[in-house]
Amino acid sequence: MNADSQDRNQALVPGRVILFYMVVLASLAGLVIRLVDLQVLKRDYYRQLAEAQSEGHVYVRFKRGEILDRNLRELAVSVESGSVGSHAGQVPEPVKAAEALAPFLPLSQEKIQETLVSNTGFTYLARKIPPHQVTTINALKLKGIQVDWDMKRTYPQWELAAHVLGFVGVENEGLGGVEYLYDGVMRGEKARVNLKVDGRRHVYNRESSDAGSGGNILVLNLDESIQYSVEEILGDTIREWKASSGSAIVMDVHTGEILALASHPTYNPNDYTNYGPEEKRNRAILDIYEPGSTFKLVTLSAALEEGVVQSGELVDCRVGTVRLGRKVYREAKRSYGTLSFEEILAKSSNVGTIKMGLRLGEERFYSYIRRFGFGGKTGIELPGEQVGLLVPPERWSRISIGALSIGQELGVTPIQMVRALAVFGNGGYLVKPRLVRQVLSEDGRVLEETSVERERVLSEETVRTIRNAMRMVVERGTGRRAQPTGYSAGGKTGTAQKFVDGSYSRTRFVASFGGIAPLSNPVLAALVVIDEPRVHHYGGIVAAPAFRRIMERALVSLQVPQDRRLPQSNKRLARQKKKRPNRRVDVASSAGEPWPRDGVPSELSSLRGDGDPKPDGGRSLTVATGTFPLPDLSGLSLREALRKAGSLSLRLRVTGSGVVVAQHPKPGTPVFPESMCQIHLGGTESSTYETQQLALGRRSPRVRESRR
Amino acid sequence: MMRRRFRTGLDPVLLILVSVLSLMGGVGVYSAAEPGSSGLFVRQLVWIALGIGLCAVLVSLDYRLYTDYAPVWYCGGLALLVLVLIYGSEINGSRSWLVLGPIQIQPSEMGKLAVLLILAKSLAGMNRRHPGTWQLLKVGVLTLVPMVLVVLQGDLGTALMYLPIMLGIVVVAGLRKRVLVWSMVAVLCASPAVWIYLKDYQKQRILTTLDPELDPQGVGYQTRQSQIAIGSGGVFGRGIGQGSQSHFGFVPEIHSDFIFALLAEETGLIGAGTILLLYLLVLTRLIRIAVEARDRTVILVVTGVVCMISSHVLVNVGMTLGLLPPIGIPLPLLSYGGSFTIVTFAALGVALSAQSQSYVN
Repeated sequence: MNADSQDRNQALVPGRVILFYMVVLASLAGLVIRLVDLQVLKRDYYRQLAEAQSEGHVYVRFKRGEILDRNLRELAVSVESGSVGSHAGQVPEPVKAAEALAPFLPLSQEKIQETLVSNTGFTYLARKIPPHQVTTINALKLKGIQVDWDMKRTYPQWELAAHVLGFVGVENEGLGGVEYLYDGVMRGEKARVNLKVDGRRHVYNRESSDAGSGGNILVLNLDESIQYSVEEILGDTIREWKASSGSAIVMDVHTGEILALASHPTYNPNDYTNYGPEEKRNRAILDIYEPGSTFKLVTLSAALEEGVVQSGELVDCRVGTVRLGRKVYREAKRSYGTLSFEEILAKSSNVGTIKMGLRLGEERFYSYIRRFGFGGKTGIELPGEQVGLLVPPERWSRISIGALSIGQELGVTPIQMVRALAVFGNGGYLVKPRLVRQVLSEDGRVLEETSVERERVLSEETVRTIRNAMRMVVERGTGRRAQPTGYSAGGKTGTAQKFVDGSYSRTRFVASFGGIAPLSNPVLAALVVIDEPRVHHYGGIVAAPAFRRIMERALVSLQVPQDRRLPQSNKRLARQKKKRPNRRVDVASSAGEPWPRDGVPSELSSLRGDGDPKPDGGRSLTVATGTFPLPDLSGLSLREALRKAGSLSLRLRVTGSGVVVAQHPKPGTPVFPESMCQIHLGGTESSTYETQQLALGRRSPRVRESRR
Repeated sequence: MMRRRFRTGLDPVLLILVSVLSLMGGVGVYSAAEPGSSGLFVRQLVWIALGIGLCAVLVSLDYRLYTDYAPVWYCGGLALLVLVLIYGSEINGSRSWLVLGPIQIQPSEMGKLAVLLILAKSLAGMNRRHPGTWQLLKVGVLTLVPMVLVVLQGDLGTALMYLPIMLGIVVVAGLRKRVLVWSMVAVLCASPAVWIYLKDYQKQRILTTLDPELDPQGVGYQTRQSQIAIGSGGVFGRGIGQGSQSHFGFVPEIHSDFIFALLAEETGLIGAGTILLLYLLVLTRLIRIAVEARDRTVILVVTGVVCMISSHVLVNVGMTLGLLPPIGIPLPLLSYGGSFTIVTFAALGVALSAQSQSYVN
């Protein structure tokens, strides 16, 4: 190199190279500043972001509590089931996987394959699949297919009490009926499952944190067998008269316990998505109908209570019309002549009833309507109860008092009406209808218990008179078809024209019959409402036979003593009577007396023939006629044992916990219904339960517990 | 003479610095790999070993071999670039790889060194204080031809990295200030025109760098995740193998282009700062060669090497920190990848060889 080139080099190096170095240095310094900004100043912010996107959690519910009837028979249970799903793109061989899964899932192979290929994130292929299939699919060990255990709500009795129970959604959340209203009670604790998630939102780690417990058990006042009968009878009646819908309720008059509540058409809560709102509608609390003549009970009892009329007083109804302003109210037939007070009800005289309403006057009449609970919710434990339609007197027209007297110009719900009927059964109290009996913890401790809530409406004196009039309705009046075999009953028919498009329809009716039985010592109130029956529309023809059948079944099922001689014309029964005359329980003598242990009249078994023979033996009424061999209870769980004993009317004394290991007496020993059987379950826990047979449907809880 | 060449040739300080950086890269690659699979890590170690070996060989050879035969290397590079267009394999959307049995080579990386050498050679030979028009035109063509070939592969990011090499060499070679200023103005004026020809995804990348919240799930995702990784590392880091961002697929390309994010997450500000410091020391060491050198060729070659390494470091780290649009270029010595590792070591070898030769002369 020559000197010249050396000079050139000297000239350019320090300047440009150093300048260049400075630029690099400054840039690096800029990067460090940014680094400090991110890592020191904003560290917490980014740490949070990192955690937020790499961690997640889901909640898993523990077992949802069962719903049991008053005899602890299962109406809704939770069973183990499984779910199958996959993460997007984590199934290496979707074709193979789809082929392997197809036989076990309710999906076609093509559909499974499509889901496996096209899904983003996590997608369920199927949920609520039976446990044995979970095991099978797990055994296939398919890569990328996630199988989880899940809980499935099942209603083992299908449609039974569907409108009371309601149903649950995919996440086992209550969506209707008591499932909805008592969701918080039954749903159980949430268990948090912490998830670690990667950048493709795939879960690579999951750990359940804390242990939790299942939901509480809801014990209803419903009686499974009565509910079954009521639904069957209601369905029969609606089909027979080609009616559009209907409802029926059976209530304990003293306690307000709802033993049965049915609505038709009905649905299967296991499969609720396939039914529309019509089927799911609980008409017993949602449908508002004009009560018609049934409401005369309210008018007449109020008049009697207020002393504007006396029992037996003669009322002139000869004209057959009452004029209120421009409106003329007529009898159903031309004229009944002069009627006694009781006959007004028995013959369902419009004229007589309106006269009583007029004697009361608007204010007093209205206050009684309110005291009977109309225009307000009954407080039954179901969502969405309607209050009905009731206008205060300030807004009444001149004819309103006449219309209201005979059950027009107001709308009531069936549950309101059955509660009003119960007033005549329990000596004058308005009781709150109760569906829920108890809330039990998962291990059977009583957490909550409902109790009777009642208010006096009428005096006993008034109730006695009206009850007599109600008896006349059934024995001689419009409700003769409502007369149950073996029991005295009182009631009132109702036939109301439906109010359609501003006027009363001549073709569309609501036929109803409500009443109480047995009259000697009333236990039950029942109401049957049939909407738009064809052919006939009178309550006494359409609804009364249903009332009769319901009362017969329910009273027998509850082993209520008969209080009425069977008609002599019934030759078969008469023959039986001759054979075993001493088994007959006399009406007069039985009232208030304890029911003899083995004294269930064998005639009662004939009542079972009233309905169709039931396919499920466990569901039919067990009417004990004598001794039967004690079944083998060993190996059963406590609940199964209770269930079995309940269906056989056995009482159990229970010790220990686990499954039944010993019983006394031995299996096969002949025993009477309501006998006490002692069972011992394994384990050392020294708790004793004693179950009590329900005699008259108004006992406190069936399971009594005493811990020692 | 031989003793001196070797003593000064393999600069021990530089060797240690480079080795430490490579090792950190190896640790990063190891950490990024799936637990239990050491494939990438082993391969990277092999590349590093090969690189160091090549570096040692290149240092011991006469540097004139590189500059005098620069046209040969350049033509070889062009041939490879053409070859890759015909026979190349497409990976990640770019047709940049020549697959030769078990190894894949990326000619666009080799091209950087070839361009560096030919530019240094061509500008060193001029006998004027400032490069003239013809010279600049020649330099421009020599750079643009391989660049265009790389762009044709679909790898705009790598192509862009040819520019800083050219710019550095031309500026140090004595580019007139006013030419520099005017060309900057020209680039600024031309940029709207360039914008039109950019593809949509490229526009998106630039826009999201200006406003990272624009599309956090889409285009901005990579940058945003990288920032979260770095930020969540804090001062001390989350520990090797403990970074949730780096390990569970939040940051794409974590073992190659975004390895700085991994190291910053797992070793924190201390580790990340150390890396930047090491780069600074390496660059300082190289610049000292240029400053102390007497030979114009040596100065320009070393300048080119410094430019190549520093531009990659600044752009790569800038993009992981969310300061620059993600253009998918590796971090020298740290990122996984055979071709660029080898090229970086080769460039160091050439620079060190030039240094030793310049002392000899």
